[in-house]
Amino acid sequence: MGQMLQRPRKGKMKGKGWNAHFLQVQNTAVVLAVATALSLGANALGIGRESVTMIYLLGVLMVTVLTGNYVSGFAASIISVMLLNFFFTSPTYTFVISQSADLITLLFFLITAMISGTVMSLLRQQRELAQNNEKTTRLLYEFAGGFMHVNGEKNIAHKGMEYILRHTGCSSLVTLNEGAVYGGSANERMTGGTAFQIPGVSQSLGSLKVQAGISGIGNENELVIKTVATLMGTALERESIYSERENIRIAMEREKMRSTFLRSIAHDLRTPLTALAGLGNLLNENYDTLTDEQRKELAQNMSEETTWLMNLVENILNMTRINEDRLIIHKVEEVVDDVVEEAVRHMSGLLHGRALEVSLPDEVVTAPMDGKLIVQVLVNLLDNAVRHTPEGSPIGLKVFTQKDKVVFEVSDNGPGIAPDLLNTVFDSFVRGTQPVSDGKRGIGLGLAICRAVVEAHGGSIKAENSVEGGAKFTFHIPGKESHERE
Amino acid sequence: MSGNSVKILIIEDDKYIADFIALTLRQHDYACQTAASAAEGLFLYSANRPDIVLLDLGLPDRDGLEIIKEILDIKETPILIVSARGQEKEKVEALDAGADDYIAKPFHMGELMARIRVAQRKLARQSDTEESTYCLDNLKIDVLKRQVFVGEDEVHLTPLEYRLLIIMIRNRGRVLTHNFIAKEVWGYAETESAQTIRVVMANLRRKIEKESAKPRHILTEIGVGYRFADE
Repeated sequence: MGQMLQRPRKGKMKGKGWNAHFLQVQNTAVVLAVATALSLGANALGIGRESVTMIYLLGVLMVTVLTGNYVSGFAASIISVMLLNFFFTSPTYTFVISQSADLITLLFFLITAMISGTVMSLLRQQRELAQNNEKTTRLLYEFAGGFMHVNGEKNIAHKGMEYILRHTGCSSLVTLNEGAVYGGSANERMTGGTAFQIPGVSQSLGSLKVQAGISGIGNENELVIKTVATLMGTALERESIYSERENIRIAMEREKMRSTFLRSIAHDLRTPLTALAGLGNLLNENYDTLTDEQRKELAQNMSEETTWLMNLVENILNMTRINEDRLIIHKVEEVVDDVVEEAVRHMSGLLHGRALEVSLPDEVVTAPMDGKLIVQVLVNLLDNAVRHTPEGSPIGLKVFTQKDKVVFEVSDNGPGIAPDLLNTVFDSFVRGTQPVSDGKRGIGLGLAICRAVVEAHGGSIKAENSVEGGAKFTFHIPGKESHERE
Repeated sequence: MSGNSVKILIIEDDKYIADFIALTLRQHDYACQTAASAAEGLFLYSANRPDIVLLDLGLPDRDGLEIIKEILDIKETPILIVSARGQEKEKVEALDAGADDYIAKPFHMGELMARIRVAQRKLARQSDTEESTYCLDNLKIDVLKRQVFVGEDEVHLTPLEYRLLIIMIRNRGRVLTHNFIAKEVWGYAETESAQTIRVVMANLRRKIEKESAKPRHILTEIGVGYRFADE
């Protein structure tokens, strides 16, 4: 630290040059002139030579204080001795010393003046040192505190460049090893400039290029830049550690979800498979004793079970797509009518007497979407409505636009959603901790897929109980254009 | 409706699926043969010249697209693609390569029978000359006068809508890919033209369908194209 702080002082001296020297000489001259004038006045009033010496001593001290430099203190001491000799020792107005007592007085004066001057200038140096120390600490504190609250590579880089600009006035450019470049506009990347490393724990993380003015960067600014670079390195390192930890957490969560997913599927497959096996066996072994009516019913049940299984498999397939890589969707501008039509067609055989009332917007509305997946969302919501309503009750599917969003609404007038489930219906495998009741069909899988698909489209989905009773599922996706009916 | 003397070749490597399709078809009086590989299928095709081919896209020995081309090189035959769900790209390629229609696994036998009837009608129609009027349910089109009626009311269509409608009717029952329609209308296919087709089709549907969410005539196959209902 000491070394760090000495350097700026030297720099300052060099920087000041002749002007500073001139100022010091001027100060010294003025102070000594005043001291001489005062002494002459005192002498005229008959005040003793001892007091005159004191006035000069005061003058020397003032010179040291003003110039902060023991060289000028020495100079002032010697000049003072000469002035004392010239004006106040007999014979006056000559540099001759006739009495040995005067010589001793002058000698002692010189020594006292020099010592006090040196002490004074040392004190001053100490103060400057302390001030510099304080300034540096304050800067360090500001930098460190500033980087504390900055997140993200880009923000860290910009913060660093901001500090450098504010404290040194130099513009800079940050190049990270991953290839990201911050600062400077794309067409005027700086050509010259001094490069500094951004240190990391094991290796350099990138470089910081500073565009200096004509006079060069300067020692003090270099220090600021190096400090900023180090702090940037620390912040970047912290950032990468944080994101690594986040990745691990996500991976763990995904792993956990996968095993829950498998368990859920196994449970959900077991029920219909048991039923199918039983039905098949029954039909096979008792074919002759069963009536035609009974055989037909068994076959009917088997085909229903299978349809349900197919839908489940479809959902599982989509779910794996979602789990794999945050769901890859292929968006195409799709006309809303087409999607609704396909979903309605898919449901036509599965409604069991429930009336499906469909309402479409008046104009042709298109929105960028993965048609197959949105169809699946609609099918899942409609299927959900079918499963939770008694036979014969109506189900509504309404599509409309709201500003630049396309809103889909599936409503029924069944018993609605239990209030404690409202917030979790879209979570996959909500039943995780609860024992799985084998009698009840379907897991949150269908609705979880709905949410994943809708969110992948940049929309959102919500479940609520409508005022008139019954459940209402609403989701919207961003649309773009609507084409007026020709 | 019975199969009479229509011969169907099933090229499908899954034994259970092939068996149950064959069983159902035979019950409807179709004559059918099954092949478990592309090589066997092509051999049976050249030997027996079936009227309709049911082709599974995921065969172990050869690419489905090649088989389609080879069959069509021998003779123009309606080809029905049987594919797994989610293979939209393959489906579209197969349709563009000249397949007539597709059906996605898992399917209901009823659906398959309907597709086969469409193919059969196409066989019967091939010899016919261009019809001058078309009539299904409440939709009537007079091709000579360029007039379209829904019930008793005449509907005004834009030239593009009319053209799309005529293309669909000429190929009714078949799935028409966006590519196919674009080429028929403009002579070339681009991404934007598929977008235009979607919008024009939606407008057309609003004009000729009673309920656009439950259309009677123009059916959408998401990710593939459109089909004009034939029955």
